[in-house]
Amino acid sequence: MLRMLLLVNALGVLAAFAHTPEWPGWWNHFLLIAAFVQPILLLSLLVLCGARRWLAKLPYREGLAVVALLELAIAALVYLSLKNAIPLSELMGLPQFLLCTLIATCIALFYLDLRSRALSPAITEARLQALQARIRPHFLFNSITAVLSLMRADPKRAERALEDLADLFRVLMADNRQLVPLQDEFILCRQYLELEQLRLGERLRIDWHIERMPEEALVPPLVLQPLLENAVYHGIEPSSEPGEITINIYRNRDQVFIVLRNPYKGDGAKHHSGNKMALNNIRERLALHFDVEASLKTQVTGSMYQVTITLPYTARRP
Amino acid sequence: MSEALKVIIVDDELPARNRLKEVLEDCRDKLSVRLLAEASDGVRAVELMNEMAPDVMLLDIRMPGMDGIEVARHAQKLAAPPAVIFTTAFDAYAVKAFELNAIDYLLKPIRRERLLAALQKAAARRIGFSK
Repeated sequence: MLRMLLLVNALGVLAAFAHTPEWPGWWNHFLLIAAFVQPILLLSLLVLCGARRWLAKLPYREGLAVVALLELAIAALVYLSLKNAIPLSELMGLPQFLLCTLIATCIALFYLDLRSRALSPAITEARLQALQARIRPHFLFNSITAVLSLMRADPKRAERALEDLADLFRVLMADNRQLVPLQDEFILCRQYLELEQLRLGERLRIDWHIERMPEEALVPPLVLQPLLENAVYHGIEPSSEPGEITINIYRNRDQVFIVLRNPYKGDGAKHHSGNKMALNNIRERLALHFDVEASLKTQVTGSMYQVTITLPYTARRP
Repeated sequence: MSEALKVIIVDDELPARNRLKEVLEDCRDKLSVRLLAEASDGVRAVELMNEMAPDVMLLDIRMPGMDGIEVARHAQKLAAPPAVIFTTAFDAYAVKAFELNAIDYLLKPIRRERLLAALQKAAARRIGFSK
C-alpha cells in the first residue's frame, strides 16, 4: 500500500520533470500535479478497499479492467471538481490527464503483478524456511554444562532448566513460517533468559517493561530471542561486571514497538559478523511478513546499544 | 603413584567450574589429583599460576577481559610452565590452541574419561620433566 503511494508520487515527479526539465519550474509543477494526485490516491484507496471482496471474485483480466475504469472515473471526478481551484488545466486538459492516469495505473498494476510473482507463496515460504533462526552452538553446550553442574546439587532446578531447554529447541526446530502471538515469543524469551541466568548469575540483569504489551499481537516467531542472544553475547559476556538488558514492548495505535537496550563496549569489528547476520535475518523475515510496514533499526548511544523493531499491529492472521 | 597432580581451574562461569570440580573428583579413583584453586578471570589465573606453580591448568578460552589464549601465552613464558588443557564449549579455537602447545583440548560438556586421559597425559609429561 505504502509502496503504491510512493510509486505514484514518484511518477508525478517524473511527469513534472518531463514537462519542464529546468529545476525551478518542475518543482512547482510537481506540487500542482501532487495536489491532484493525492486526492485521487486517497479516493482510490477507499474505493478499492471497499470493492476488494467483489473484485477478488472477478477473473484476473476483468478485475484489471475494472480497476483501470475505476481509476479513470476517480481521476475525472477529481479533475473536474478541482479544475477551478488549482490551475492545472493550463498544463494539461482532461483527455491528457486521463491518459496519464491510465499510464500510471498500468505501471502500478504491472509492478504489483511482478511483485506478486517474485513473492509468490512458494518462494516466500522457501525464503522463510531458509531464514530459520539459528542459535549459537556455544549457548547450547554451555547450557548443558550448567545443567550438568546442577544435577547433583540441585536436581529440581536441573529439571526445570532441561524443560526450558526443551521448549526453546522445540521452537528453534519448528516450522517457523506462521506468525505467533507476542505472548508466546515473550514466554520463550523468558525461558531463554532463565537459562542464561543459570550460567551468568549476577552478571546478567533483566528489566522487562511489558505493562503495555499487546499479548495477542501477531509477530514472526523468534523475532526477539535472537536479539536477546546477541545482547547477552556482545553486551553481558565480554564484561565481568554486571550488566543490564532492558526490553520495552508496547503498542501505539496500529503499531507494535519492541525496544531492546544493552551495554555496549566499542570493541571494533571482532564480534560483529554474527550480530549482523541475526539482524539481517530478522529484517528479511519482517519484510517477507509485513513488507515496508515493519522495520528494524539499531543505534549506538554512548555505551548503550539499542535495537528498535516496529511492526504493524495485527491480531488475526492476515 | 608419586605426588598428586596439582590443578587449577579457570572459567568465568560458576556452573562450569562446579561441574569441572565434580568431574575432577570423579577422576580421583584412577589418578591422584589435587585442586589448588580456581579463578573466574584471566588476570587472577596468571596470579595463581605465578604463586602456586600448578602442574595443570584447566583453562576456558572465552572469558571477559583477558581470555584463555592470552593466559596460555603468559604460561609459556614461565620457566616451568603448567600443562595447559583448554576447555571450551565450541570448536573454533583448536588451531590457535595447539599453536600454544596446549597438551589437550576438551569440549564442554566434559566427560570424565576425556578429562582423565588429558590429566594422565599431563602426569606423564611431568614425569618426563623430572627425569
